[in-house]
Amino acid sequence: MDHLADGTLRRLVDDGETLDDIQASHLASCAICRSKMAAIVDDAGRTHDVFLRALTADASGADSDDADSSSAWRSISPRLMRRRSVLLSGPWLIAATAAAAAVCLLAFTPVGTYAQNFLTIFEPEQFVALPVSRSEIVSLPDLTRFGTMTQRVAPQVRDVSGQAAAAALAGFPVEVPTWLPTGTPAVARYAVTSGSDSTFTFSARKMSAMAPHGRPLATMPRALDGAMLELRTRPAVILAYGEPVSSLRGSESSSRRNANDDESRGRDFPPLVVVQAPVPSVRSTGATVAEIEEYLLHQPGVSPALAAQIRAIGDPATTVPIPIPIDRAFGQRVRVQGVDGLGIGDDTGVGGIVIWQRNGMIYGVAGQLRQRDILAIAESMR
Amino acid sequence: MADAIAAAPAAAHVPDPAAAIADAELRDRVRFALTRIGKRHAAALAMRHAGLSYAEVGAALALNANQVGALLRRAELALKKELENGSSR
Repeated sequence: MDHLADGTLRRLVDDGETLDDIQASHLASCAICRSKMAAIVDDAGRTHDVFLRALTADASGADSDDADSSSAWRSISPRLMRRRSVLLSGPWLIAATAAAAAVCLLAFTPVGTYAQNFLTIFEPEQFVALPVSRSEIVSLPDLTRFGTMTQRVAPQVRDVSGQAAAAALAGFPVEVPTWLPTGTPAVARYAVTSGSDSTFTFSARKMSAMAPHGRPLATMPRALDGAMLELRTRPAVILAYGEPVSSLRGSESSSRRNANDDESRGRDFPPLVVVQAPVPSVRSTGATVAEIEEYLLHQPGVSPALAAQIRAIGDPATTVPIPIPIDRAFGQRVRVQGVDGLGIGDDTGVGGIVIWQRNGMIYGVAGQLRQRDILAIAESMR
Repeated sequence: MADAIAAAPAAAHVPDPAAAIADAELRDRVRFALTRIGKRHAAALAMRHAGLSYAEVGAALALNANQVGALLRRAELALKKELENGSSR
């Protein structure tokens, strides 16, 4: 059949059910259409974010004397902001956020006209467990003290009808588990998160202003002051098996939910979640990962032991340290799909995660299952 | 380190005068760009981003749903080009 029209693909971005079976099958197997779809998704996401930012600025700048300000423009702001809240509050958001965090989908990349000024400084190749105590986690420096983060393109989550639709929207072949433990729902719900773009700009002035009394922060090197990192997440596909426990049990009193936050969080996740996304990258206008890491490790609150542990992990430009509370779980190197990955959890069935990188893709399997079952699910993905 | 990076998005909510200025500049650039991409393109983008469905946008512009998709695609490309041109001017 002919390639799909731009208008058809663009409509698919906003409504995942617009293709018939023949079109969906073509899209899943046609590299040209998938490439075109990826560009359309990217442009649509950027346009959406541009509108959101422009309208947010418009709402906050009500006293602007800009002669171009039109009443029609202002009139759509509230409706657009409502639409944004809907986009960001769907039932998939929790699962998507958790899963995205599980596979460290934060990335730093250039966009637009700045691209030529950036160098890739980070591309994750492996994940390493970093055992930390609760006190070490609490005392880690807050990154917001060192600069300003601006999100230029917010991620959006879309439910899609199945594997082919997810592959078409995300722009890469989607792998699925071919084995599931007994009792795990066999049918997955699919969702695709769009990419996101953010920048973080180091600022010595802000750092000085926000330094806590009596605990001055280490002086920011000149190479870092003003350096900009650009973060970009790329489309990710999320498969969720089963409903979150909380949704099955219905409403509970907030006091009970707040009584044990960890237990509450566990109820918000489906029994099994599988995430896959292209490898992200970190780009910078100048500062290297080693410079940034060394600077942050010299901050008050980072114990010498923890700093030494992080330095010993290996190449910071390719290795992602995953902090693991030593009183909650353990991390260990696992072998999955022929590569080294990281397993987090235990064999009690309370929960666990397996993360690995293969052929430019990051995969994560998380569930309220035994570690050995999660590993078997990961191994079965095809 | 990973904790610090993972916590980074929260910083997006920190009020920052420089960011506010950048957003205001973007607002002006978007408005200017919309005046240059053609009325139908600008109208389609504005209506769609105001929450109107494809059917509603189509009804307003006398188009079917796929034609609305095509119009939106052309509008997004035109807006992108205008914003890029604006950056280099």
